[in-house]
Amino acid sequence: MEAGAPNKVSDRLLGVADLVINWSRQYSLWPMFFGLSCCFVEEAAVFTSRYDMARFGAEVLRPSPRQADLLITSGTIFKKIAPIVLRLYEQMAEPKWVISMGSCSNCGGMYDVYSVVQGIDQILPVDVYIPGCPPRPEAVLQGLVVLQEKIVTKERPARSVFHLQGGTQGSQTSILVDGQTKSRDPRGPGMPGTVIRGSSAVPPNFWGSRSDELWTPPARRIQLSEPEQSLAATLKQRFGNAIREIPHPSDMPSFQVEPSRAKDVLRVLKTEVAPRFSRLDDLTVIDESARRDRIPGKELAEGLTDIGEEGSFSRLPQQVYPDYTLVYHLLSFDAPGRLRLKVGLTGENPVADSITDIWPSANWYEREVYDLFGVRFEGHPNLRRIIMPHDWEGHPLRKSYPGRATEMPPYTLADAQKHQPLDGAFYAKKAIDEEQLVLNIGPSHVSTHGLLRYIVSLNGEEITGIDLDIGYHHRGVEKIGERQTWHQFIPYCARVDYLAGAANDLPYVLAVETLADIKVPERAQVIRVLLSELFRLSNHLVWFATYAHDVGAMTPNFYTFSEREIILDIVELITGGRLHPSWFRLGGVAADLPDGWKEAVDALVKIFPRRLQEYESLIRKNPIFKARTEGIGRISLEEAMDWGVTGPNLRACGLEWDLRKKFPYSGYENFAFDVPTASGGDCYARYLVRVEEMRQSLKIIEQAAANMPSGRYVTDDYRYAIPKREDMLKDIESLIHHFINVTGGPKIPRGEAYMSCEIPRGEQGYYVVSDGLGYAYRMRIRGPGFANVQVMPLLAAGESIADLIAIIGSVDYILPDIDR
Amino acid sequence: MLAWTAGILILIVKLGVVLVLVLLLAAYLVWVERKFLARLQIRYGPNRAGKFGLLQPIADIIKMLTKEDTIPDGAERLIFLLAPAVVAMTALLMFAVIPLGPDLTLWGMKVPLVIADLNIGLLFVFALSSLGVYGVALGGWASNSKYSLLGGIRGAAQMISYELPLGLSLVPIVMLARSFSIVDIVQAQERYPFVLVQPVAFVIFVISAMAESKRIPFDLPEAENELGAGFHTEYSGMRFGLFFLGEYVNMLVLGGIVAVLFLGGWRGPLLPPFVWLLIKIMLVALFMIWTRGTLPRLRYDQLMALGWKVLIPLALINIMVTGAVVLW
Repeated sequence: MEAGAPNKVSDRLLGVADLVINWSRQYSLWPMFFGLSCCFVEEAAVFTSRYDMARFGAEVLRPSPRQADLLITSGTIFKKIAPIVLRLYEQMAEPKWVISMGSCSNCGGMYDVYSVVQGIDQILPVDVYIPGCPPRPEAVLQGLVVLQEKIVTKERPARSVFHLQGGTQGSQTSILVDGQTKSRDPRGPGMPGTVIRGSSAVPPNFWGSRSDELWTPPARRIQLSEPEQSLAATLKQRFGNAIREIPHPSDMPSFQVEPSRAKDVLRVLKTEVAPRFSRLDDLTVIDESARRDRIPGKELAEGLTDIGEEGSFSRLPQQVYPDYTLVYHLLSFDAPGRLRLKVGLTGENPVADSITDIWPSANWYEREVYDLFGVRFEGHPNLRRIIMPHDWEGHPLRKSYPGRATEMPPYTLADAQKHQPLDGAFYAKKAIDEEQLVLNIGPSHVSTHGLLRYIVSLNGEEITGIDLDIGYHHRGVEKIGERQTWHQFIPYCARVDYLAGAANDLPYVLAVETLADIKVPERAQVIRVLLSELFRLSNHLVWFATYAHDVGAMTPNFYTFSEREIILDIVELITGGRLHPSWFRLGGVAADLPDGWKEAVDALVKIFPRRLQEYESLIRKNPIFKARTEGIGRISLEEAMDWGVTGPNLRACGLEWDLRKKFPYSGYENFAFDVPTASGGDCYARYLVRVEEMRQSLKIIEQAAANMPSGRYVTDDYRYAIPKREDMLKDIESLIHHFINVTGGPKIPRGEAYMSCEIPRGEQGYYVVSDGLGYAYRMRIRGPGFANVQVMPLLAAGESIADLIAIIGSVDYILPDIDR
Repeated sequence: MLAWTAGILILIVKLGVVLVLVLLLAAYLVWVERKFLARLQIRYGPNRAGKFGLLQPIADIIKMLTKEDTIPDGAERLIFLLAPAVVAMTALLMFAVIPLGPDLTLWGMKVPLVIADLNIGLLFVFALSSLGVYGVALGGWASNSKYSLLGGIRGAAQMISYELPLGLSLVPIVMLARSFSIVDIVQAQERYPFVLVQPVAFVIFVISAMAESKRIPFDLPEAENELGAGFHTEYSGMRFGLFFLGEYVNMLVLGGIVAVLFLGGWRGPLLPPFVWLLIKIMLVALFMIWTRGTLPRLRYDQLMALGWKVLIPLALINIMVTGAVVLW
């Protein structure tokens, strides 16, 4: 209370009312059920047993903004979602408070990229900032306590409550304006004296690249196997000069095809050759306009030059490149194998043939290419933007497009008010006279598991039509991959599938290691397997919890999250991080296993099977759960293969297909484990597969812990790896490599490699293209979610809303992996 | 004249006591639910507002009372504003016919411990619980929001469907007690509670009661995973609070009805009658909370199928069997 005695009785009464109201409000801060990205996982953990936000009376998550008092903006504020965040905030009843959670929400964080707003405080007033990437659950509790203190000490609500003049309640701060009240400098505030690189005073690029002065051996070369050679011969025979084998690939047989014949070649590959390449693994484009060895103004000529020249110094042999290269990655189920097809396209806005009639899954891939590169597809049924907002200008993955948000005009409140998403009726392609209810489920909805919008047409509760609007979680990570050095990019990997943590560093480091032919010591390989499997367990535990929650069971959340905490404790012991350890390195891992790791892992292996049994007994035989999942969301094996469905969702259709068995990597061939499958392809089958996968993962963890080899944790070839600290301090060569590799990044030889791993959600592939620099020329990520979610309309058509929610839970997707 | 005045006074006192008691009980039932669920989930639950979080309901109520009352554009204002009151009021009114104990004798005057001993008490309860549907359906419809509308429709369909087995399951009770008056029904259980002779009716009634009070596995009108907050999506502040309150009062009422119709009402050894009634009500409420903590949610059509294809036929068979037994 103020120092001077209040002179009027009414003031004194109001003072007492202030106290009472503030006291009650601080203990009744009901948060909105709203999450943006990784941070929300930690926010959700705060509600579970170990942290128990309920102690503060703040566990009453409200799905409706009307009833919520507190908006925790947990995660990245994407330009596509910002208008919705603003709308939700406006829908909240007074008084309302905002906690900004995590670096992205605070200031854009590590995502200074075209699609991300550099801080929620540019469109909303913020009461409390929680730092961290992501902040630990304890930090969220701290944030809540700070807000409680703020309410009690700073606010005088009684006057507003009794409709009198004056008084303060709710968020009071003003929003910030990029460049005026908020620093626009990507280096942070306090550096106005230093000219920013990329401004007119300092050119954006160094004239020469230091990488050119470095020598590296050429990229890895593989010998084609017998069947691959015969396949090449068959294709040559069939298409003559229209197809050319690209010499010396690093990872799989690759062919360059004339644009006019590309579609025919693809059709033949899918249906006629043996083995058949029945899956379109990935389809993407490389913008070749910034190739350093490009002969300017020359059309794609006849012979292709050898990309992997014998070691390269500064002088690059000049080459001819098309303007864009379409890249198809195909996969064969019959005899596990891959194949790459490249098609050169020329022109400012080139056109290619759509292959949606060969692979239905090409639909979204082609839309994505159109959206991000501006390449059009002839014959595509519905070519429109998929990732970026419908009113976005330009194609952001083109080399000419700025990468950073700080290079673009600031995103303001006016932008958030203006760029509203399209009305749901736009997506529901039905005649006006048909009576139906068009319902938007998402982008912010309890059960969409992230920022994803379903537009469903309803007849009663039956779904008659369904369309998806994705891209609300587009963090531009592929563009970021073209500016971060090879090592700097590793932290971004873990955030691509934020529940799979270190498991999704693996395809990236493996792809680069394949390209540069880096040998990984055996110990490092087993450590990688150990961590990947720990994350598979922790991911599936979260899936178990959310799936049960989706069908209405609230308690499994609390049970499985406590085992998840045990796993995260182990991860933390080993790596120091929880969700995003950024632990794998080119050539190994960041540090050796600490003392006590084995005891911790053994303890987990001991208790886990019984706990899982217990949780399963709550769900598996529950008649309501069975009634809600059996026969729901069915997909046949043929459809699943055709649509590029991967991971547990594919195995639930009955196909025993696991990359860990079919294309063993990182020493998985040395582990004994089964690949669980189920039949039926429905929600219940997907449940069975994932639960059994947990048991198998545990088996792998047990073996990895029991047979951990000794030796180095990182390769001793320091050309690409970051040297061990002891070596760096003692040895001048190591010091030099350390300096080069952590500053400008190691020079990775020119070439390309695609590597795909079985992460918890399916097959995640990295296609890295190097131009012989310290960073990638093109970083393509094939997320399992993109293909898995594309089949959603197939799964949900004809079912009811409640079934759709169960299907969403059973498919287990994650947004940054769909939108990247 | 004096007796008449005294009667009015006693009635007012009784009304006041019951109202305060029920509201307080409902508020603390929320606390019990939060604490009990927390323990089921290996947590503590609210413990900062007061000792053991005992002041938590007070904090929530004051918060909701001082929160902005929003009315969406395009809402049907009058109905939107009235709907929560309908839900809370019908729930509260039902308590009028529940006997809290045997008759008291004060200064030579007989004071029945029930607000209104209606000879059709049971029908009164059904009438009111059916009226409660209007609050849900109209509130959902008047909000001018699709989620609310879907929630409202679900609520209407569900509550009408479950009204039937609810009513039918009690017919055997009426047959046994030969009266619609709840006071008489309690009297009729002098020797044994009806749950022993009517276990089927008891099970049907408890299931239907859970559906009536819209709780997991029957919380479809507000299924948060599907419909956000369902029929009350657009309500804020105390109007939402009234829906909330209505739900918990409903739990108490249904707990009360289970107690008086099946568990012998206030009857019990040693402890005072009112305490026995309270214990029985709380047992039913705790059972509902426990169920919520354990089970997943049914789907709309499964819920209807359970009501129409299982519970109603079962209740009818039960009536016939009971009738046959009574006749013989």
